Amino acid sequence: MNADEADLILAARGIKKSFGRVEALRGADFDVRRGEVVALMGDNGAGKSTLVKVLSGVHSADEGVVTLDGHEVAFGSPEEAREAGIETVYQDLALADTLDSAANLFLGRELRRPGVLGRIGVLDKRRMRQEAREAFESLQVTVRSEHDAVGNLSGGQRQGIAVCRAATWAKHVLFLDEPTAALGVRQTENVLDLIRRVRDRGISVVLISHSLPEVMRVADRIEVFRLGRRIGQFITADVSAEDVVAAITGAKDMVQFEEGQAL
Amino acid sequence: MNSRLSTWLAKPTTTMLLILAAIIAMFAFLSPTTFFTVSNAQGIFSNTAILLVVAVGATFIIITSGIDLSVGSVLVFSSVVGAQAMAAVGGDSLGAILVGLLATLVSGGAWGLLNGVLIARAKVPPFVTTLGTLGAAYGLALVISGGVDVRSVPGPLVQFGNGRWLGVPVIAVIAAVIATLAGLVLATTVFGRRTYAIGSNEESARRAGIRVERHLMSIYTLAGVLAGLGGFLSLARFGTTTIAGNTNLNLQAITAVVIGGTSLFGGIGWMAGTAIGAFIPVVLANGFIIQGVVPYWQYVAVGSVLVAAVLLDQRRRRRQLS
Amino acid sequence: MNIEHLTGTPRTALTGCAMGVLLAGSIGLTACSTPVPQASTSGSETAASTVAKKVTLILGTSSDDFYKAIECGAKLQSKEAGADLTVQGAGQFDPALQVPIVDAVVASKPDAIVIAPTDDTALFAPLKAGVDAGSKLVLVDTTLKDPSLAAGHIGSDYVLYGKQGAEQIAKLTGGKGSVLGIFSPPGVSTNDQGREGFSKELANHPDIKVLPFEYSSGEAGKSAAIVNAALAAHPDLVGIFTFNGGDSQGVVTALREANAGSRVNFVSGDGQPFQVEQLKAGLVKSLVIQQARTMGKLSIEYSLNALAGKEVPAETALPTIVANLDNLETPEVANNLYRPC
Repeated sequence: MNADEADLILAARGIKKSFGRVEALRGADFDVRRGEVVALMGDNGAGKSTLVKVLSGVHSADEGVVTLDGHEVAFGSPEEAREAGIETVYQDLALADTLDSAANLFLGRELRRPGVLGRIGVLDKRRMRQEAREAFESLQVTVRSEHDAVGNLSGGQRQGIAVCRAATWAKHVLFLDEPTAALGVRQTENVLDLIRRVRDRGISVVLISHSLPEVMRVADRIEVFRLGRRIGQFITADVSAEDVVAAITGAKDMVQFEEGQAL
Repeated sequence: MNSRLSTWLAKPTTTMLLILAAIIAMFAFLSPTTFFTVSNAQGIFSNTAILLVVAVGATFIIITSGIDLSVGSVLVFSSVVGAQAMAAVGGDSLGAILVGLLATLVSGGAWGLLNGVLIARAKVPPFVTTLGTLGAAYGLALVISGGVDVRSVPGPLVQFGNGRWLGVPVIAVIAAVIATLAGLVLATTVFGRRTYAIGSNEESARRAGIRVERHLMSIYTLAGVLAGLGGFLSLARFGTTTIAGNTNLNLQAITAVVIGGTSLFGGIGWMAGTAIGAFIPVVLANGFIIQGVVPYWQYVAVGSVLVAAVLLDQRRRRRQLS
Repeated sequence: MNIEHLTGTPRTALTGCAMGVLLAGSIGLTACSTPVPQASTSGSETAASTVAKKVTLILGTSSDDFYKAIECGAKLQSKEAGADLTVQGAGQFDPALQVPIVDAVVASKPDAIVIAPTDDTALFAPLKAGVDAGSKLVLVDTTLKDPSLAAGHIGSDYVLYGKQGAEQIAKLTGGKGSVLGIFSPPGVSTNDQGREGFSKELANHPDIKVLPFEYSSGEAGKSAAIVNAALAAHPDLVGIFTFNGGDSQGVVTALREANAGSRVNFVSGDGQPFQVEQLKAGLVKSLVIQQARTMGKLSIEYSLNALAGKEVPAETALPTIVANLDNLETPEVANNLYRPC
């Protein structure tokens, strides 16, 4: 792994995490480069979601080091991770279905009116609507009706809003957990385009996905996990689908890959 | 603007407002000289006031998809504490009355805080928690009062409680001011929006960084304080505690909130709706009595309006989930 | 009409209309079934006294047989005297529920209001509004702190009530043994007077030991617990008297569980239907009943008298009647048992 260390925006080394007697991560490494889309793949139980939770502050690692932008970090809570510029979109999207798109974008970060009104907590709804419009436009997310409750919108639009929200507040890294799992063909296309636009904005995207075709289309690199450790790193352009599958299922292990490919 | 207008028209609150207007029109037509009079209107406003104050607190709670069954008992408890405090201070002075006010608000708020801690921190479901405090508050009220109503309320306070301001009963003015302020908070502030967010999806709100536990605690405390205020207004109006009463106040408040268009399942609601919802049962009962109708029909009418309101809410939510 | 395909505004409007029709229907149906009152009736007496006087009776609760008996007396007298009677009452004995009813009744401008007030202070102002607007007021059963507002008050002689209870117990127990009285806590004037009569009468029987009073206001669970404890603490308990009818159930249950029904003589105040059954079954030895129907009858009589400018007694305390298996069928007793017409 001849990774250029300076190029890494987020790196994990030797992460161990156990829950009782279950060892979810057994000395896992993970690399996220600046301005890339990296896919995190692996079978069920490989440790993908645990890794994401450690990196986004939900859990703290038992052992290991995480560095963000060159500095060592240890997040005690999701808030700390968010403050450091890491956002996560889980499969449930964490939207408030009865609120509209602007309200969801600013959930927890509501804008207040200037002056006295703001200090007593009065919302600046107009500014939030305006900035939300701009945010959605900049990432080409279409919201059919501004005033409509988000629960009324289609799955694709909701996904777009959730990703756009995370991308708006993220500074460095955005984790996406199975973003296209519940979407149809056209909506999936939109989300993949959205992912590329987020990357082009300078935010690295970590994409957890079971869908190899999608990963091959949108990810720059692929990191494969098995049994709590990373066992493969691939550049998408240079690898074949069969090899990735083999890594996921364990037909070939890391050593064989190391011998087979130079990175 | 067009989409906003149609959104407003589709609100169940609007439907309920039209229904209230229709009910009033109907009774006015049937009994023009007895129903549609200033003095009867004043009576209706008086009889809605305390319910509205309590229903304001219930609105916040129900929007977070919680529930508070303890409000009637808390009102009784705080009225007992307030009356005894004023009796302890003695006399008719403004000071004594203010002590009573403080005592009712603090004792109501204390029960509300207890509710909030049990619900938000200990994670006991709201139904169970407030069912428990319903019993405990009532029991303690009996203990403190010995089971006998406290009847010595300062004269000036009773005068105040039965007084009018520009023709409108004072307690109704107070209720209106509180409902308006609370409605503004709900509709225009961070606190209000986070209330909706928590009701809409508590986990999402938590992940967005909202301090859900703290927010819930403040909402239940607020409801307790408002129940305490209700106790104070009750003392002012009736000149006595009414320990045996207010047993159905919790359900009346919930009915008012739900009729007004707030959803029992959380995330949706309007204070204006609660105000309308508080009036509808009172106006129905009043109109029926003036008509000379057997009392039991009032319950049927209120019940059908309530069911209709919930049906409307169900239809609206089902559309959303498609 | 299938409105499933509609959405938004048209659907809401339709649903609202449907509800409106439902409401209008229920109101209309009931309005049709009861006589619509003359819109412009006022409380003042006019020379044309051939117009039937409108009297509204507001009960303590609409579900208690005691009040139903009062209602019965009122109905019968109204029919006879040609008065137009309307009856109202809340589901519970609660001034917060009764006040809105009074407000509405006052707004309907009856000639007379007859009421069993659920609170002696809270009901004053609303009733005063009625009197000021021209309605005559008669109080029945309970009273106000300041009863001068009313033309008259009809209640029971509660001292006699307690005295008769004590007399029965003394007779049944042969004047010996421990006796327990269960009343409402001090502060309820009717019960205070009852206790006074009870104690005074028992003072005439030096061999009877009067145990400390226990307090319950018609709660069966409470009275059962009281009797359980008393049976355990006082093996020589021979007589029990309850003032409030609701307590009777608890006493009977506790006596049965302890198999003490034969050695403890139970005299129960009030004449609710279940108490009459208990009397017939021998679980209760005597009842002390209030003349509920007479109260209702007199309330109408007095209202009409007041409207006609005739004199009405300010306070009427109807004697209570002892009912036992011998006189249960006599009209005096049978008519005053608590039940609707």
